Amino acid sequence: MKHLIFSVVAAIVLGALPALSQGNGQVYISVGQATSKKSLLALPSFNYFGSQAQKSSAIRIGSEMYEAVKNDLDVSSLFVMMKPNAFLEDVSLVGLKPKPNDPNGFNFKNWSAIGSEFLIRAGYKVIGGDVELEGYVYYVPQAKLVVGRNYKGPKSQARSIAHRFASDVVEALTGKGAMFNSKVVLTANRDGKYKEIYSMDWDGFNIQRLSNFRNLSISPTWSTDGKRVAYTSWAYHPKAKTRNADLFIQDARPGAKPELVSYKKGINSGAEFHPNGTDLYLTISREGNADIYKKNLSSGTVTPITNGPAGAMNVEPAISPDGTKMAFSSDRSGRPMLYVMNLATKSVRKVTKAGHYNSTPSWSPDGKKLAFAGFDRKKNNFDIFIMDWNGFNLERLTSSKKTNGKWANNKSPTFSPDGRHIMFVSDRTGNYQLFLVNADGTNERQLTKDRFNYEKPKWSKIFE
Amino acid sequence: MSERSNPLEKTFKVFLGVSIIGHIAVLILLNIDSLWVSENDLIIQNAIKVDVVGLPEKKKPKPALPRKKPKPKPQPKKTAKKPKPKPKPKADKKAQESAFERLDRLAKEEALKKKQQEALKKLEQQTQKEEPEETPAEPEQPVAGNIITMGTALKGLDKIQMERYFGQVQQHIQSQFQIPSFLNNAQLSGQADIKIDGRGFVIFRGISKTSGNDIFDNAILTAIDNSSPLPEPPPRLQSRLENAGFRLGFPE
Repeated sequence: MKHLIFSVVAAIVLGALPALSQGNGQVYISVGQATSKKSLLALPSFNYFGSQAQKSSAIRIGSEMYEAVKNDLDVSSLFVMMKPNAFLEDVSLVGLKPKPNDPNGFNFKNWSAIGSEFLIRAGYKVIGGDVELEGYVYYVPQAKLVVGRNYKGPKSQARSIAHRFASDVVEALTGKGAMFNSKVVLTANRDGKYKEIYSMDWDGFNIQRLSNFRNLSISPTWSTDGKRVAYTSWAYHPKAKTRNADLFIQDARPGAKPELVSYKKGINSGAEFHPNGTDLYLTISREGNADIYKKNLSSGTVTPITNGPAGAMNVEPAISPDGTKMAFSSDRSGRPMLYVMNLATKSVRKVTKAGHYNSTPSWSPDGKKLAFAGFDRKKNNFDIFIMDWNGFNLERLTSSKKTNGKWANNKSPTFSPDGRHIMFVSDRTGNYQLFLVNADGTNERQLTKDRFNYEKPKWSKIFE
Repeated sequence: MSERSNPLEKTFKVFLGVSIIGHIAVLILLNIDSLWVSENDLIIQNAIKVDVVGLPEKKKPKPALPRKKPKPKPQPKKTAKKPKPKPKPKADKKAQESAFERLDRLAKEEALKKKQQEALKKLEQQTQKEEPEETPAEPEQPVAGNIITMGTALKGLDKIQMERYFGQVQQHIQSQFQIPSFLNNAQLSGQADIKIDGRGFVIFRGISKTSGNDIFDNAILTAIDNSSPLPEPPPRLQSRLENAGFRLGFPE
């Protein structure tokens, strides 16, 4: 009690002391972290600078490039697109550069008045068989040029030029280029009852059939240099008069001749190139036991990578970008879970413990994350998940319903080469279509909208 | 009746007596500490005053102090050799033996000395390798975190009032601080100086330390502009904030 009374008295006495000088040090306040927001982007249509004679045929190309740039920048999730009816200035009457540098240029005030933060001005012309694109990005609040580029190429590459410009815009702002000039290889039944291998631009354009086995071709993957694809096809063996799931490699263009790489009796599937470009990892199943093997494409030697345990299946190898680790799916513990093997020491660690069935691992380009499809028993569906490669920080990225109210299946994730997005297939619309989602689970969107079924997409590197 | 109630009464009295004794015993047991054990002396000391600051950043580990060189063991003093006594004829053998033993002992001591010196040399070499290089003294970094003030001589209620006010200012400005999403991973930081009048209106703002990115700097100035007017400063602070102003760190 005495102690308590003394403390109270001491506090009162000390508090009543007169305030002394405020000191000479400057007051400093740490404001704290900012919230982030998308930037308002004004993207008026591209100006045509070519001859009037070619205008009618060139307009289609210009429109195609404009739509490609617009879609790319929208997918980047960095911008909110302003509606054209908000623009105060008719861009067809003014130049690509601002006044007073260009007497006939545009006026920044017309764009700051409507609140735009960024303005893209671009123009094109078609000369013979070539198209030329000139593009500028301005930061309106400071009336400042961010990036200005000029591109030229064949008319057939118009979309690629547009993708290149969009990627340069993103790189100028973030310091890192975007995946807009990349492709995807996948299985689809676009030609009727057969499943063939197709390639296409990441946005669903330029779809080309690569295989022609008129049967079942599945599990394609890109070579490290993006020039070839490997896939499995149920080829017919005339001598044996039977079909077998064989592994083929061919150039990534229609009509290329496929080369038979692995034809062990059983299944030769799930191929994945090592970053060194020489080794190919694949699953070979013999007498019901599926294990992962490494085939050296130069020497032809086949080396077992996994070996049981007896009765276990080890499938779907995915090599880390630095080539030191291999993620794969295995039911050695009773249910298919994801494992990561150190390729040098062959030590294996289990990285998923939750869920009932985890499969199709895909590495992020920086090697830090794994995306995979996991079966949720409660919802009776597959969803896309992402986690650190060692199993920590598990997050679900998808959750959608079909039109009948049941939970949709979302499968076969593949990371974009810039690490910002994940592509996957989903049956939420009835058939398996391609979807895209940001790596943080935001901005989910449908890429294909047709009556076909797509499977096992694999994203390529960025083509320069 | 009284004869019948006697045994009952006796029993009741016995029970009552036992109950009373039991209760007294319990009371004694509970209070035995305060009754017989002396209380500890009250220690009275002055209250310690500290500035209220946020959690500091992780301090950089100080370089290891150089290891002290182990002192070499003092060498045994060489005692003056006593003159050998002339051996008696009878004791010749014994003297010879003692001499040999002595020589043997000296040899062993010599060998031990050598070993010790070698060990000392090794230790010295090791400490020389492990001694860290002298690094130039790093400039003192300001304590980071949600610092309200670097420290003033204000005390008591004035101090509390000031800290409360600057906390309000920090929340007010942070609510207006937005950056474009393309700068999320850029890890930029900048500082701005600001002056406000007695009503909290911003009368001056300027970038004192640029982030290196015009768009981020613009976001800092926009946050300050959108924050005006700030909460009205306490009367004691008005003059200072209008003349000297204060500095804002974005984000720290």
